[in-house]
Amino acid sequence: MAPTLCAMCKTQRALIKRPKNHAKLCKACFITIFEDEVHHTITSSNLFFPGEKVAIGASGGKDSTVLASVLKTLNERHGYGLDLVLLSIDEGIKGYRDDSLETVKRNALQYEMPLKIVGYDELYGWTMDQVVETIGKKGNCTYCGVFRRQALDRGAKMLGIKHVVTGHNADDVAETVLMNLLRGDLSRLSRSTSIVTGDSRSEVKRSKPLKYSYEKEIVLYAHHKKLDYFSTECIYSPEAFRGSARSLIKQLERVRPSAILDIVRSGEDMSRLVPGESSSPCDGCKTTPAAYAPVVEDDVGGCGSQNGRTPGGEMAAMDKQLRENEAYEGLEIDVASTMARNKATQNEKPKDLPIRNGGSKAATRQVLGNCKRCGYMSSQDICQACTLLEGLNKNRPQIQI
Amino acid sequence: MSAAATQAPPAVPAVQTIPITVDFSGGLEMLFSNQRRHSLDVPAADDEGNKSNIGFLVRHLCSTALKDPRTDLFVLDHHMYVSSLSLSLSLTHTLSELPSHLGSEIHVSPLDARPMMPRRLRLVMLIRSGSVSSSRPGILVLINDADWELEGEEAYELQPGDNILFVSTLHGG
Repeated sequence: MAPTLCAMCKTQRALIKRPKNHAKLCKACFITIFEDEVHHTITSSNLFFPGEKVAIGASGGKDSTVLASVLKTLNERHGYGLDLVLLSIDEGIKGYRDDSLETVKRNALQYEMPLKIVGYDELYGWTMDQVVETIGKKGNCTYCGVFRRQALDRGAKMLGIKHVVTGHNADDVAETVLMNLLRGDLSRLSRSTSIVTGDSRSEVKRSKPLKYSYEKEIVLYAHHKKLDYFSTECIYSPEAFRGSARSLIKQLERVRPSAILDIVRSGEDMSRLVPGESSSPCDGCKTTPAAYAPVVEDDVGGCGSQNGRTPGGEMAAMDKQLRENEAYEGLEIDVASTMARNKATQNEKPKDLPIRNGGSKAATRQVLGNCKRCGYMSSQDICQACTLLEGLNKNRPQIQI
Repeated sequence: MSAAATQAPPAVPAVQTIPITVDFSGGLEMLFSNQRRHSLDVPAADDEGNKSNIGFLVRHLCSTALKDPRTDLFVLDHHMYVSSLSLSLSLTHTLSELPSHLGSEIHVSPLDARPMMPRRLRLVMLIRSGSVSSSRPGILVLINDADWELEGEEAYELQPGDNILFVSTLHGG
């Protein structure tokens, strides 16, 4: 087979076939375009402001390692003026997290970034090893997930940082969209697709600069840039449900590589139709709410990478049209009236919506307050972490008290 | 594991071999004795005399180098394979030629097993063999650093000195 030449530079041998548009690229051009696209995501959604202190949630895995590397490169190349810090969570899992933290420590040296490690033990008085010892392996991911969410925020606060970036990639987002769709949780689906999440109460906002980057390209980027990352599955049982969504996504990708970005975009489109869930994830945000609204708006079309190149092009056009219809209420009426016109006899459909609004939890927007125990933001009196901790502390073996 | 260890390769004397290096990363190395790089001499042709390709290499690795029972982390969906196998077996009466333990079923390369199979089963296995010779979705295959999609995927014929990298995208984040 004669070597194919790179579609961009036309001189080097193509080594990469991009999943989203089948472009065949050489190593150098691939690295450039990967970085350029992340830069585009960052600038088109106004993710950062000059001088901002940003913590990179670093696990030592491929995604966060690539994120740290790309952000360092872009920060220097385009003069973002960011103050980047690595923030790692030590869940306290021997044989897994202690090893990956070694990778993060090496990354801190390689990228010349300060590193902060926050442990579950210091935050909650429990390591995950101890949690598993107490409750068993089943369901331990719930604890870990609830604890981690707070831990990143708290770690950022300790550092006086108000913005945490995470390495979530397009595959992760697509996976989450599918999971929430399968659970019927449209409210969460909406939140999971936003590039920036956060709330006035949380004080720390989160964003996903790699939201449009394929996992495949992240792995290839790490490979071709010879990045040092850690890859081992957590020793405690993986989430079975996520696992199924994940294999489904991977199989879809094989048949139709653009499916992943298409799911992400469908998720974004659906989120705008969710009643009570505005397209802006943080309408109560401290930093001007107006600054956020365009984030999500831009972000869909702004990615640009897909428009016109894939069979999804017409969807992008429709999306544009949708965006012109300012409010989602307008959209709902639109849909309903179209239906009514088409099927005059069928009156149930328009009625369905109000019923759903009243009954389903998906439609109720969470009202955030603060946990009475730890002060962390929560929609309940006592936050999830404190509730879990209470249960744990009751069961703590006598010896340890 | 034991099945693979005790099962002698089909006795073909003085087989020509191709020296290649195979790398595993992204967590796959743990399935292959925790060793990232394997220097191998693979047979130059498969049992039917066709030049060895990537599909053959995947089957070859499954039967020789894969030391971990979690074969489904490497080859395509264990369940799909096993279920189609059981389905076809229920139509026939020859269970004895196959290892009964499901976990080791995947070690039986369709090519090894085919001659002793009843016709119906052979057919099904031929259909399935396409999947078995393919690594599972989520594993990238690089042939001399190039995406295997640019090189003809399973059909790429191995050349002396080739480097084949299997890298998992599935682990950690």
